[in-house]
Amino acid sequence: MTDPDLPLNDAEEVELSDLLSHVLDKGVVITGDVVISVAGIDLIAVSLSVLISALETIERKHASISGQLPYARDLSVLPPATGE
Amino acid sequence: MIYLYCLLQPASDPPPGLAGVDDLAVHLEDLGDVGAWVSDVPASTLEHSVNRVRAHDRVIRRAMADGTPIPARFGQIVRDRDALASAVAARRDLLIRCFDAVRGAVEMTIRWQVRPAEECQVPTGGVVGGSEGAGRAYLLAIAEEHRRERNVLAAGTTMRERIQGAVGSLARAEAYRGATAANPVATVSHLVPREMVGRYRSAVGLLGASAGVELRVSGPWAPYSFAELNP
Repeated sequence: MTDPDLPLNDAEEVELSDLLSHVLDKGVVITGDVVISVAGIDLIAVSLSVLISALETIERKHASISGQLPYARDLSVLPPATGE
Repeated sequence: MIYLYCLLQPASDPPPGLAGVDDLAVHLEDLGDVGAWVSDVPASTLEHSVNRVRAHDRVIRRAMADGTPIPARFGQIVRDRDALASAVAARRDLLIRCFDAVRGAVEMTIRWQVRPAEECQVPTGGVVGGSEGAGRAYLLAIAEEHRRERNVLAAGTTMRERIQGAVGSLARAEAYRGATAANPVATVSHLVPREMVGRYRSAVGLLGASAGVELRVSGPWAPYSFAELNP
């Protein structure tokens, strides 16, 4: 990716990841030879790793602002991790 | 060569001056009861770039101002108008059904990071050196990997069900992509009537606050996730 509008902040990276996952990976296909979709996989993979990193950063910021760990209240509703 | 952005029913002209990929002019190809917004491009392939992806989506968003287009996946180029008409005609019934399904609606997408309840530790006691110990450690590692995968899957499914409970009545359809241990971000998209978008956002916000989970909403999108032409 060599576009001049990079680098982005965390929120912009998440937004870009949303955009790429929609436009490159979804939508109607009416021709049998979407060559770009094969090349697009790389961009999606890059986008995904950026997304995970950006989401973690945003969550850490929220946690530090609120003074509590995100997900703390959610643990009670998750299934037991027995794996059985 | 013709680059395809989206299909519309009824067909309507793009606004004058609308630019698509590489700032190329966008025009209508009228294919009877279906229209296509396209650009003439010089080559049969188009290398992806962020700017081109943004341009593709920008054209589709403009089409959303007049109705609900069926968005095309990025990168579809056909030889000429006849090839486009032939490709559309071959799928006309499925396209009409898809238009009926998405009319008046938009796609809203929620993403969140899936966190299993706890990190499971497979007991490793008794592992000793030698080939037998190494084999046991190998099998335990595989079991641990499978256990972690199941936990991520279960945690994602649990939140998906909570989301469905919160917004299911506001959505016509759902498309879910679960998380994995390697990719711990889950995505669920909903086909939401335009007039319900405000209530949808509110419902997701309330759920995220009550669950203590960062549910990130994006949209409205064109119905990218609901443009599959399944027989």
